[in-house]
Formats: sequence, structure tokens, C-alpha cells
Amino acid sequence: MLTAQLLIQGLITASFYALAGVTWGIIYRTTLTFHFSHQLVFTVAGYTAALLTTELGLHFLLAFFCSLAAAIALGCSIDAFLYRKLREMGATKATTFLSSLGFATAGTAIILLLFSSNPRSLKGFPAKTLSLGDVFFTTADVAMVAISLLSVGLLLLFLRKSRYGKVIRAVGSNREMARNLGLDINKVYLVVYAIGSGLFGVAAFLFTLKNVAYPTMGIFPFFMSFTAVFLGGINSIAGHALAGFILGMAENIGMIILPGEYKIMIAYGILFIVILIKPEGLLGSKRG
Amino acid sequence: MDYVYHILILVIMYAILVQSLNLIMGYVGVISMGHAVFSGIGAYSAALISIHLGYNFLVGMAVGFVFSAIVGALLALPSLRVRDEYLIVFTVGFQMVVFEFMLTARGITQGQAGIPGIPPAEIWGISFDTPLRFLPLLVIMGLICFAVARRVIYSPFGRVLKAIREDESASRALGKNTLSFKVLVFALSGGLAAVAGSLMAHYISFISPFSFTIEVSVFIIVMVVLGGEANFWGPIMGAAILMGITEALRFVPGASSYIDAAREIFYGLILMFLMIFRPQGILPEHSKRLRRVSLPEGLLSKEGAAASPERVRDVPGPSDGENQEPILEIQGLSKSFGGLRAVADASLKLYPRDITGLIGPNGCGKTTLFNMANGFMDSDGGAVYVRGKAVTGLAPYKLVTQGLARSWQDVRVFKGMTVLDNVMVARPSQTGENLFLLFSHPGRVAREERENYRAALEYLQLVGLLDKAGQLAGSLSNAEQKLVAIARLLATECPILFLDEPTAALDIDSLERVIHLIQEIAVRKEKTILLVEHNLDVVRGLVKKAYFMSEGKILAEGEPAKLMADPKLAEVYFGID
Repeated sequence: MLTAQLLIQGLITASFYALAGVTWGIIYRTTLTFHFSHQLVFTVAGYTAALLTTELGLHFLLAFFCSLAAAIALGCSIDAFLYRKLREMGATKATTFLSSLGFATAGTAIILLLFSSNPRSLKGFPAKTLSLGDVFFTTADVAMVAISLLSVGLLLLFLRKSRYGKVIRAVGSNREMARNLGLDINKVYLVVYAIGSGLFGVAAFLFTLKNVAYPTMGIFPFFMSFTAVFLGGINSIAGHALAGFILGMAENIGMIILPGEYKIMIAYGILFIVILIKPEGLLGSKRG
Repeated sequence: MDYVYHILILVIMYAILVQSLNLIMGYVGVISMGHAVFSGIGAYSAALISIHLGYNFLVGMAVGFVFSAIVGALLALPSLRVRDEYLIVFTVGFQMVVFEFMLTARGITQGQAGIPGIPPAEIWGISFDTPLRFLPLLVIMGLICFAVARRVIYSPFGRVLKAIREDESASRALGKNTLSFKVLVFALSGGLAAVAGSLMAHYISFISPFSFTIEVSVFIIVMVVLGGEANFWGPIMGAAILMGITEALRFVPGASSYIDAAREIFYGLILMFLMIFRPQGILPEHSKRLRRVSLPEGLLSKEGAAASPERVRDVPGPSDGENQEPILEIQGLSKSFGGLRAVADASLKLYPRDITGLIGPNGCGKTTLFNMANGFMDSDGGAVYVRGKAVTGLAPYKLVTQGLARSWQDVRVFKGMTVLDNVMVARPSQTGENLFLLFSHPGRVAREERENYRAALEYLQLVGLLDKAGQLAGSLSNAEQKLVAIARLLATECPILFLDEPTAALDIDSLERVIHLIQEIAVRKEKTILLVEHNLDVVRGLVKKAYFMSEGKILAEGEPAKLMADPKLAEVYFGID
């Protein structure tokens, strides 16, 4: 029964990582910016949800939309005010990465300064423990699996079927061509940051629902999201989701033999092996 | 007074750490997010060896150095197969994994409680147990580390590192095994960071995982960037300023409760704004002044031979082909992308000192054939022979040692290096590119460097750029950069040169100069040249024999004028339906 419980836990973590993976993936694939401040978007969204329900007594559904809005606003601002300026200056990828690293470091510390390191929880969600035979899980877990998988599915559908989704994919595949077609690259980037940040905000809300908000809460989900992107293959958003899912399952199945502290090593080990065998990633294509 | 010494000690310790990261970040242009952990490896090695085994601190330091160097080398290995961004991923992962290990492997590291009671460093009964006594030891160790870094930076090895930073593919095309350079510099960087870590362990006498967090890694990165990447003195500047600020913050009244957060905010903002307003840091890599290049006797700093009237000497003219052995032979190379056959069974022969053309319409497979022949792309079938020896599938850097080098259509000079360094870096088989011989045979390295210097200036004279030797290649005009690229190619001393559209995007004057130069090097430098070219006038002027390619196949060979007179080929070339 322990195995069944771990499989369920695996499914929960896997859904969460799949969502985390595509949020950074769509940004990286399209803009090729190593958006390190993505972790801050997560933290800000989580705090927004927690503080609005506890301090202002907002309904948790309302808080959900507020944290979504906060994530989108922050992600888009970073692109519009920081990355765009760096792009116009012709900054290298490394320069942009460092700048993003600086912003994330400062931002995390500001949150620590404002709200201290005490964890904040989200109030008002009907938290209940459910059981399926001997396997236990909570309503928060159900929400996490359902909403994560739904979000991933909708994003993939949007990118495949909608006109704008195709535009985004075109920009990611061939910037020059997209520019020659007269597309406003800055606008496309902004939309991509809105989608990626918004969905990471959703992930942050689900995370806070299940756990608590704290200043460095974004680091680990962010680590998993970019690990999933490189594992899945930079070009393939579906690959990011698949890789996130595999990382989540592996982490929990790994716990049968390894203590929980080693979950990063499992992720890292998988990435290392896959890159040795297939450097372009699980579903990645060779070029790019 | 001890407090002043203490700050000085911290600055020097960080300066070593920052210099070690500078080797990677500044010179190779790769970001390591786990540098704190390298110093952690050094610190734990020092602590465990001195406490459990009671050995001298130098033993612990050496073990830490070796261990950390091995780990560093392993971390650089994935760059064999993937792009540099992956190194960010792997170093972040490395940072998190080792930090986690320090926290959880209580049997070894005593977990988050840390290891107290590390004995002070000691030599010949002298114990370096107070800041004042420790300071001289640290200064000596610091000087050694900086001397090592300096030797590496200003050597042929360091020059290759910069070339890798500027353009890794172009470096490989010059015969540099870039992976081994990366692995070695990661190892050296990790090792030096471990030295700093082991000194810290003995000085503070207590270590815990929290001294080696990702925040510390970021802190070191900020120091590198603030001081100035790829500047030898930058690390001291960066470490001094940031440690100074850190210590000054302690004196802000009531600051103790929020000092850590305030520090983080401060560093983060410095990093962010620095990238926007002064990405080169306080001390930039290149000062504004031009580097003066002193000219050895016999070289005149006027326009070089390319423009001089001295004409070609009476050397045996280009061969008449068939009665000679080909110096390079391509047999039936093929390549498919998906269903598309980009190159189908293409064969050609190059004879010594000939200029041979490869022409054809856009997308005919010229570039693919070119890339397969010089090792930048795997072929599906076929073979390449240099002087009858099979070289099929060799890595580009190995092909250079076989005598085959290439140029790039998009030029690819090393923009952030001087013109002189662009040419010097291309010189073959350098003792000073071996990290060990660099230290063991300083005389040989210096002798070779003098030769390189002279050879490089001669090539610059040949292309007529002697007066620009000290300028950054990126500051030159497009035409001049093409000339730099030709001088760089010649400096490889390869007898077979592949030129990829050397005259693309040139104005008429520069065009003639380059055409003239190509003739000149074929005859005077006795080079065999394969020329991929779009401009038919150029081909007609330079080439006796050309291969005509279309849709992946070689359709015809012969004199360019005759080829172009063939109405069928002209139709293919000009796309007249």
C-alpha cells in the first residue's frame, strides 16, 4: 500500500512539475532568455494569495485571480522594463541572465524584509482528507492535479490550434522570419511572459494551498521547471510537460529506496543521463 | 587593530575565490552558479583531514584542491554535447546537491551543526592563530594563487580561452580542442576556490553548510562582475568594495535584524543595474587606449605586401591536374535531412597549389558538402582523404592538424580580442596551450611566443593590417575583419584552405584586394584552396577549375568560363525556367 500511496504522491508532484516546466519552457523557447526571476513570480503569487486571504479575509477564489494578476503583472514588467532594455542594448545572454539573477536576489530579499521568514498559509479553502482504499490525499491535492493538468492541456491546445499560438511557435523557431513577416516581437514576448508567468502564478497558488508561502518558496519549483525544460528538449513544450511529469514521478518512486533529501539528486541524475544519451532532450529536435 | 586585519583577510580570501571564478566567467564566458560549493569542498577537506588525521594544513589544502579540481572537470564535461546554458543548469544543480549533502550526510559533515574546533594552520611549529599572524600566510597563498592565474591568463592557453568565449566553433576551426580547455580551466578554477575555502576553515576554525549557500555563490558572481570580468585586478576591486560595504553595514544602528536581507537587496540591485549601465564592470577588460604593438626590425608599418607592387615570384605555376597526386580527395559524400537529400554522392579532387571553385545556385548543397568535408557535420556516407590518408569524420580541430582549415562566410573574427591576438591564437601546436607545460617549460613557451609574435605580424603585413594590430577586431570594418580572418587562417599553417564566400558583402575596392590576396597566398604561400563562391566574376578571375553543384549533385567540372557558357548550367544557376 505504501507503493500505491507513493504513486498517488508521484502523480500530484508530477502534475505540479509538468505545469512548472511548461511555464518556463514557453518563455525560454520563445525568447531564449534564461529568465531567473521566474522564481520571484512564483513567490509573489504565493504571498499574494496567502496575504489576501489571511490579512484582508478575501475569498480564496478571489485571491486566486488576484495572485494570477500579480504574477502576470510582475512577469510582464520584468520583460517590458528590464529585458527589453537589455535587448535594445544588444546585451548578451549571459548579461541578461545576470541581470535577472540580480533582480531575483533583490526581490526575494525584499519579501524576506517585508514579511520575515515566517511561513504564511492560505485561509478559506475547504481542506479535507479523502481516501481511496488505503490511499490518502487532500482536496488540495485533487485541485493541484486537476488544475495543473488542465492548464498544461489548454496551453498545448492553444499553441497547436489557435492563430496566436502558431505565431508564438513561429517566433520561437525562427526569429528572423517572424520579423520579416512584420510581427511585433516585443508584443509576442509580452504575451509569452503573460502566459508563462500567469500559469506559474496558478502553480504558486496551488503550492500555497497545499503547503505555505515563504520567501524562498520559488527556488525549488523554479529549479524543477528549468530542469524539465532542458530534460524535455528546448524546442518542445510537450517535452517540458512530459519531463516535468517524469521528474515528479521519479522523485516519489525514488523515495522507496532513497531518503527524501535526495530528490534533487534524482532530478539531476536523470538530466545527466538523458543528456549523455540524447543531448537534444526527450522530445527535442536536433537543431537549435 | 585585529578588526582591520580581519577585514583585510576576508578581502584577500574572497579575492582568491573571485579570481578563480573570473577564470571561468571572464575568460571562457561561462557562468558557474555553484562556486561557493567548490570552496566548501576545500573547507570540508581541510577540516576533516586536520581534525581526524591531524595532518598539516597543506595536506588538507592539497587534497581539497585535487578533489575540487576533479569535480570541476566533471562539471564541464556535459559541454561536450550541449550548449553553455546547460552549464548554468548543471552548476545550479551541483550547488543544490552538494549543499543538501553537507546538510544531510551527518556522519561526514556533522550536518547543519557544522564542524567546530578546526585547528589553526601551522608550519614548523609556528601557529597562524591570530588575524595578525594569519595575514602573512594568507598574503603568500594569495600571491601564489594570483601568480598562477596571471600565468594562465596571459599565456597561449588564456588566449584560447578568450577565443572560446568569443566564438567556440571558430576556435575549433583553428585546431583547438575546446572541450579540453574548458575542462582544464574548470578544474583549475575549482581547485583555486578550494584553496580559499581551506584557508577560511583554518582561519575561522568553524564551518557549516550555511557558509556555502547559493547566496554566497551569487555574492561571488556579483564581485566578479563589479570588479570587471576578464580583468586581472577586477577580483581584488570587486572583493574589496563588496566586503567593505558588508562591513560598513554592520555599523548602521539597529541593522542587525535586517542586515542579511538588506545586504541581499543591495547586491541584487548592484548586479541588475550594473548589467544595464556598466556591464564591463569597474575595471574593463580592455582599456580605452590602444595596445601599442612594437614592431620588430624588418617589418615596416606601412601597407603590407597585398597592396605592394612586388609581384609573384617565379614559382611553378598551378598544376595541370591529372598527372599529379591530389592533396585532398572527397569521395562520394552524402547527406540527407529527413527525406531531403542535401548532398548526393559528391566527389572532388584538389591538387596542390590549385585554387578550385565550388559553385552552384543557392541551396544546392555547397555549404553542406563544405561542412562535411571539414568536420563540422557528420556525413551519411563517403570519405575524405588528405594526401591519401582517410580523415572522414574527424573532429574539426583534428582536421587542422591534418592540414585542413576553413574560413567562415560570416567571418567570425574574435571581436573582443585584438587583431594581433586573433592571429596569434591560430598558431599551431603551442607548448603554452598545455596547462602543465606552461608552468614546467617557461623558456620554451617564451621562445615560441616570440616566434608567434613575429609570424603574426608578418601575416598582418601580408594582408595590410599591421597598423591595426593593437585594435580590437570588433572595432574594424567588415572588409578589414575579412582580412583579419584570412591572416588568422594563414597562421594555422595549414596547406589546404577552405574559403567560404570570402568576398561576400564587400565593396569593389575591398573585393579586388581580397581577390589579389587569395591569388597571392595560393602562389607565394603555396596553399591549396577550395573556394565556395557566389560571385561568378570572382570565380572566373581566380579559378582554373570549378565544380558545379545543383540539388546536391556535382553536375559538371571544368573551366568556369566553359561551365557558364553551357546553357543548361546557366539555366540552373540563374534559375531561368
